[in-house]
Amino acid sequence: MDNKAQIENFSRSIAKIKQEIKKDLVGQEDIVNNVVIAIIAGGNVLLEGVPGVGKTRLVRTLGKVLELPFSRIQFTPDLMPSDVTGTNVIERDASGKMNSVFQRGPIFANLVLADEINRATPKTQSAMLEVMQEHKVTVANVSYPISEPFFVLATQNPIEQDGTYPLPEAQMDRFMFKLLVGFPSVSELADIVNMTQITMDETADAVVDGETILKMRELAKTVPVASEVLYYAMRLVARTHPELDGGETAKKYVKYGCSPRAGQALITAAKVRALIDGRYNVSYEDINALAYPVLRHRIKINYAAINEKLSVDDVIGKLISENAREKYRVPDNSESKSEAAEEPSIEESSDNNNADAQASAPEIEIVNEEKPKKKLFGKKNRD
Amino acid sequence: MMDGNFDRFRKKVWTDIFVKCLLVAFATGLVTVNAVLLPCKLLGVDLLWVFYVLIALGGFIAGGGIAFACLKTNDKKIAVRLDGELKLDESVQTALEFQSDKGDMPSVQRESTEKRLAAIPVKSLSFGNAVAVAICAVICVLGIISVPVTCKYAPLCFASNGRGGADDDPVRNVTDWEWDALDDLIEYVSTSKKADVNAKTGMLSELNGLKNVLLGGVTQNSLSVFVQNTVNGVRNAVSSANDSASDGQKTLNTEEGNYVVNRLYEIFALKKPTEGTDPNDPDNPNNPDDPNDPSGGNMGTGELNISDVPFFDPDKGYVKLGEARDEYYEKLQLALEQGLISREEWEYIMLTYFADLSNTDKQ
Repeated sequence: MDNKAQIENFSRSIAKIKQEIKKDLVGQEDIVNNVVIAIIAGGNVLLEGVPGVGKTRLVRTLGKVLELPFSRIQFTPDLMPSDVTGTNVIERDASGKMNSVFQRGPIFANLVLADEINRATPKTQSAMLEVMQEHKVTVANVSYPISEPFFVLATQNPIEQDGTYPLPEAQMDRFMFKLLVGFPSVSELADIVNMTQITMDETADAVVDGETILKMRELAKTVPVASEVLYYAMRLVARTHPELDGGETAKKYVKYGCSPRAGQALITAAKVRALIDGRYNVSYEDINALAYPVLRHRIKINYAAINEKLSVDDVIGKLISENAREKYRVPDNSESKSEAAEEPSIEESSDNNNADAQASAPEIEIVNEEKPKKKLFGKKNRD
Repeated sequence: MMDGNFDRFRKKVWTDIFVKCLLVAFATGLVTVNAVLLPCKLLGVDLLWVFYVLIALGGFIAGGGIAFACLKTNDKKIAVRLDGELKLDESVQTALEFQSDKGDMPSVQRESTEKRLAAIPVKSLSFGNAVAVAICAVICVLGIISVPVTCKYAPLCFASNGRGGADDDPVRNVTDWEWDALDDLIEYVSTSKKADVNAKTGMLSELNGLKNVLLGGVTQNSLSVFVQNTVNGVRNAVSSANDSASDGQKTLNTEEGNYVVNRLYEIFALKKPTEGTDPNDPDNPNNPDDPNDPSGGNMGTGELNISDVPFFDPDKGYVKLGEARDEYYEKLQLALEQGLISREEWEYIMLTYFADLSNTDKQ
């Protein structure tokens, strides 16, 4: 019964979190919502936005509301990996003996803001991302785990690209979401100014703690997903690959599709989103809504899309429309094996750190769907 | 789980399917039976009513079966439909798929789905395929109306006699008696020494021509025309022969011609032209026997014109006119029409009481 009460209270808890965040952060409701989803789902978020839109404040407020230690790392080109993870230093102990002691870096927090991550060198980026993936730091062959829940909110500035090191695709894949932070509206600006004239301090109170977040995370994992919805999400992911027989949009506009992590991220985040909405199952709407933050940093569009002035989000919209038009069915084993014969296993791409136990590269099965026949009787699925 | 509220919708869906199948079945049965009935009526093919019932039944079963095969459903499809139409966010599908999962989350999910379904009336689920159903209903109504209409009013357009199906000119079958009588007449003319060769040849030609025409099949109207044409031909032959005949021979030719003409009318029970004209005068310009007149004055009632036929009274001898004769003749005709006497009896009475027509001089 405790579990059932917890289930039913899930959305209330999230509502409380969001309400507290609103005390310190004006607007950006979608961003807040998605960040909360990512935290509960155990993923990391890449925020892209101009300076001054509240990215740091968001993470700081989250730290207060969730009662989690917060740290901020400002990435610069001269930042070294040890500046992030920590390093061994020689210390004299009480007896005067010199010992090597591991000095923890700023990464050892539950909520980390990695500001302007694309300004750091690839070496420093990879150190950061190893932590994001494995939630531990390895220094001199000694691993130091990071306490859970661990959440990284990385930012990048879309304007200044000079002197930056764009994150490679394998590393971008580590982020569950990429969120685009827009400029606040005029009324929101007015609210921001009014609020900050009074105080710049965060006034939000703690609502839940880390333990609760972990319980909520476990709870979200148990949300059931109907087979049709699951395959809908997987087809959407597969549809991003032009080399697979997924549809016309990918062939026309996509250079590289997304990895299986996208499928994992979609389902995991969709479960949390469903619970936040007070529902206890994943729906197509959840998948469609989360497709944008999950896929936009994982898809590489080609020159045809650029030529037609299509953004990544536009292409994702087309993929969603294409996916929604076709009939959703669950392929049986024999059918899926024979039809998957052409498609290569999508394996995890090797990254610099050879990390990632989670990316087990499941085969994505594409079922050659027939175009729906125009029906004499009725317009949708027959009963 | 999927009892209770899901059952309500499941029953509704299946009921709708059965109604649709019935409509399609009826529509198909009626279309099938009409598709057979109309051509049969047009072609004059007469089938037993049982066959029409069987055809309708076959169409009913085939149409209903095909409709059921297309429309049949299962719980999964019903769940998909409910989620789509009632905007239930795929909760019914999920609840159905995880109905045997005893975990906390699936249980809560099922309860939540049940509550949502309970709040929705069954009527919210549309009947579906409204246009197709309406079309089937219209077809059923039209089909029901068209069966009796077709039975009653379908014209016989393509019957083998080639006629337009009108009942006023039926096929006229020449009876055996008529064939024999015609053959006897031809035999009589060919062996008779009354008329001269020219008259005889002409008359025989006309009579044989008539026989050949009758062999090809005639209708009542055309029979009258052909007989009248033969009559005219006979009179013309006699008239031509008389041009080069002596006075005595002329009389004999005329008598023979009159006999043949009267016999023809008698054999085919046709009405002679109206009284007042001299039937012995083939050159009579007022001869009502106009060969161009298809009616010929002897059309289609089968009634013998007896206005100038002597009536033979066994006691009084020949009597040409008289109400007793007319009355007796009417009774005779009525008896024949009503089937009280046979055709043979009628012929016998005609021959007996209406006597030898060539003996008109005896009056």
